[in-house]
Amino acid sequence: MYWLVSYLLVLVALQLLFGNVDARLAAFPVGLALGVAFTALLFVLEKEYGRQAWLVSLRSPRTAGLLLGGVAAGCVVAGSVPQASGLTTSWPFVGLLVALLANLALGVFHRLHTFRLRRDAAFLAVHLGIWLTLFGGMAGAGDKKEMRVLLVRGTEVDKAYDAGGHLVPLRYKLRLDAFEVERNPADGSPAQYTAALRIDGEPCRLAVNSPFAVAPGEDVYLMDYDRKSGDAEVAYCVLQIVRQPWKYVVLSGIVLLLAGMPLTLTAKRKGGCAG
Amino acid sequence: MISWEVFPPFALVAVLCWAIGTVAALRKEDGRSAVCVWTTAAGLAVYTAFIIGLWSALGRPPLRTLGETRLWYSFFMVFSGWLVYLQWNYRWLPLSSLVVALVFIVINVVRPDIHDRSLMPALQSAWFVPHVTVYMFSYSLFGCAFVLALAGLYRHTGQYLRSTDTLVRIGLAFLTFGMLSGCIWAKQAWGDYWSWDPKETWAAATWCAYLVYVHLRQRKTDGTAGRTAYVWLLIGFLLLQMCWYGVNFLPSAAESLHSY
Repeated sequence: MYWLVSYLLVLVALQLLFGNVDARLAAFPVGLALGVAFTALLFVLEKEYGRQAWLVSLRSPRTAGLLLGGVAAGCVVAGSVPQASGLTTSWPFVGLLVALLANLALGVFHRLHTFRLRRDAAFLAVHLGIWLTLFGGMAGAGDKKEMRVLLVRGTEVDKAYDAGGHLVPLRYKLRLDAFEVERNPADGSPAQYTAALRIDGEPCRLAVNSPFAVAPGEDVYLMDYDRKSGDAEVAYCVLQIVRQPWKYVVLSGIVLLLAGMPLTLTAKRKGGCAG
Repeated sequence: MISWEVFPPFALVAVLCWAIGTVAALRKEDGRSAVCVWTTAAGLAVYTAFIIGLWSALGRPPLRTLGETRLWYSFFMVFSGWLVYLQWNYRWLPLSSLVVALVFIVINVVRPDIHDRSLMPALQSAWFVPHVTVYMFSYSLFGCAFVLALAGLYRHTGQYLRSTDTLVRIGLAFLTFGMLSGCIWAKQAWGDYWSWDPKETWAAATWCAYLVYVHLRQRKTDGTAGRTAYVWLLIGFLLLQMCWYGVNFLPSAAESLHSY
């Protein structure tokens, strides 16, 4: 408990000194290098000192419970204030998530040492799934880019605006051929809308909930359109382009966790969590 | 031709079957009630017949209006409860599933105007029904755990911990599925799996609180630790209320992507 309080005090000091954590600092290759180095360090620690009391304590369910309680408290605060206050990128909150990553990794490495399929399958699927999801989200945060394009019918665009309002070149050309709005018969509100695009001359269709994968880790989304057009032809649409190379790591964590959930229901309950 | 006009008689027959099953389950103290299993299945068959008929009459899957999605919530509430009862024989489970399902059925009967109200485009996704239904199901299980935790604290006994352990284990599995299906859907709709939207942040708080309970219970002590475990069930359920509807009353909700 004392180490956690000391750790939190250090994080608060970092917050006061440097302000919020800037995800852009973790852009490739920094995020990847830090993530791999951190994981390798935990692997070595578990291998060399896995039986020592302090490390047993670090990977224990008790520590997991304390950290989860801390994250829950952080979420309560972050969920109560406007999102723009950036509490989820504060040093104390990010530090708690990093500590949770360490607790998860140590638990997973420990189980892998003494792996028995029937005993450990559920534990590993769930804990490794959460670890991959968190790791992919945090280490990859600096590599995620969101851009917007206002695409006027009939014109070709090969640049987009990033979050800072700067023009960023795209590796392809976008063109809006047609736009369909399906309206509710009752009140005339838009029920669904679809854009027929050409990306480097190749036709594709975009709709809400139906993005187009333009390259590995890069998707184009239909965000909005010329709503003032009424029954006339839609003049333009707004696209969102998301570059997120780490999305596959996050997705693999989600899939592993999904696979682990039924196993937790069927697994026999015995033994500790990670100790 | 099946339409919403014939929903009340279909719903009445189904609810009667489920009510008989609920009473039979509550009366059976040990093991599984065959009456409950078969009457619930019969009610589900009647309800399924209505859904198939409506699907056929509409010429599309009934997933586009508020009324249609509530039809699926009620179906899956009872169906999930039935599957869990088949596996674990919890006698109170058909009752909790029926109560939640009944809320959605009653809304569909007394508010016929929602039958034709289209969902906004972002909600028209195959993930919508599973995402909401599993959440609702986990809420009903956590609701039972909350009541048992209150009883355990009031009576100063750890005797309910075995039941709350199982309730939380099943509830957490469904809650996790709800969160993860939401993540995948968010990536499809908004471009990222997680964006710390207020609703997501409260969902994370709820999830963490129940995980704290699970980790506390790894130590298997019934004294003070048992009381602490009960308290975390109360905290988890309060956070769940915030996530479900409480967040709408906070200033942070104004910017939420989950405002519909």
